[in-house]
Amino acid sequence: MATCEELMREWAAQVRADDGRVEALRERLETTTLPEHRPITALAELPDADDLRTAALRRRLRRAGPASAGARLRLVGWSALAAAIILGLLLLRPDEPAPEAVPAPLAVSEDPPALTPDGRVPLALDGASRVDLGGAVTLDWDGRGLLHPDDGGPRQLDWSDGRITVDVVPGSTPGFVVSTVDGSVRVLGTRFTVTRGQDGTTVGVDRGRVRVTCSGLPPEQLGPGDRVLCPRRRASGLLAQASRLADAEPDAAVALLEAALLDDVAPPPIRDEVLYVCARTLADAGRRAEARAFLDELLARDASLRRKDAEALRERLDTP
Amino acid sequence: MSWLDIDPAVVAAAVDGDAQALDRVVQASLRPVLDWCIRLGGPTVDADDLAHDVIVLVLRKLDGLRQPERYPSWLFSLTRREIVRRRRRARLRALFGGPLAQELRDLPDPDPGPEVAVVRRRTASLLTELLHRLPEAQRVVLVLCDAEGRSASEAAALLGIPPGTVKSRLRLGRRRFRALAASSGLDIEPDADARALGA
Repeated sequence: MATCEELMREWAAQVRADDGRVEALRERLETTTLPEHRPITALAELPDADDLRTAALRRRLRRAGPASAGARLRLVGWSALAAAIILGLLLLRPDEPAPEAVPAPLAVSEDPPALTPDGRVPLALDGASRVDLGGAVTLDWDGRGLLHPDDGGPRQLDWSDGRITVDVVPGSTPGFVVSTVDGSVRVLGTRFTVTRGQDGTTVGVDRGRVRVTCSGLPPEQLGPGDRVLCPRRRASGLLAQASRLADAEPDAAVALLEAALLDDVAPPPIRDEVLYVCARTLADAGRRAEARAFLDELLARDASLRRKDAEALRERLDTP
Repeated sequence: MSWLDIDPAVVAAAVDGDAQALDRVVQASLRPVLDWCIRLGGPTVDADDLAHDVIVLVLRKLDGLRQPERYPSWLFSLTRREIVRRRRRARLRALFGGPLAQELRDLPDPDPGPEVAVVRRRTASLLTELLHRLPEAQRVVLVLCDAEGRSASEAAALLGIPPGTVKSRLRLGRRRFRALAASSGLDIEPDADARALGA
């Protein structure tokens, strides 16, 4: 009967790097990683991106040199002259007719709305409204969005917030595309619903097929009864999801963390907040190993605002 | 040559840009880094790739090392951080159905007997799997102390934590590991508490 230590020693004797593997690593570093087969020490001379940026900034500052007193005076003089010209133009401007009142947003429309000069129709309807676009497309609109003009191609709708159901008569139109910041849906002759909420954009299909493209993911075809969620990928969305994690499954916390860390979309303070909240959720759910791993990641950042909280949580986890 | 034998003066010279010293530091670091990557990375991580990236990081960040005598713990924490990061990415890839595990491979075996080799290989593979079911903190101390034969104070110096913490993690890790090994059918001594209860 072996002790734990004996088993581990035997394991270590088996699971180890042999000489060939170490030599292969050295050779790879020298010949593949470094151009022109330079010796291994040449690696240290490779500048990283930050160094290059800093050096470029230094060079620019050195070229610019300190501003002389004459240059400062010239700058002040030109600024004063420009301000005087603008003031004069404003004072001499002829009276203009009062601007026409901007038409109120459409409440309910049965006809295609009129286009604005930039070619877009702003639609901001509240409550349950129906927009009929020439019989081929019907929109059940409950939220905010921007409908692009019909230019002969697939009709475009930018959807910001809320829920919209799109019903397209098959074969009646070149297509209809609903886009949110989380992804886009292309109609293939169908009826479907797009809901943009706190977690992202949900697409559900009632009839026919649609092609959904979540940001950063390959397109996916949905059939009747299918639903898909394109999660929010912006920093604020990540933070909002993290703040609601108390009632969520730990797996959701892990998925959220992976998104926050891998996509690198969130600035460091938000990423640290997401890391901490998710680690706490995992710790509360008893998944201590994962919580520790993410806390390690957080503690590896020197300037984290959550450092003290993370250290306290880490201590709690380390206490048997 | 054990990497713990690196003279801090050599590390200091490498930090100052001495090419020969840097070469010695790298040469001495290759095996421990690769060993750690193999043992702590587990079957989901390509240890050779990971070790390569760690060495590149060492070369790029070495000039920021303020205390050359702490090079071993600096090297270990750098490697550990990369391992944690790489394991997490492997988990994410698995989540999205990407290529997952690289099988435990190329286990060297000094014994030429084929049957013994097969048994040892299977046992090692099973132990690797059990080890990677432990929490990361316990797995690290188990590898450093039990597998690599370091004392608690040596492991504590590497990890930058008190020796008492190492000992408590080791105790918990061994207990959990024994339970896992026993439930997998391995012939392992029960821990002292279990023996006492059994008596």
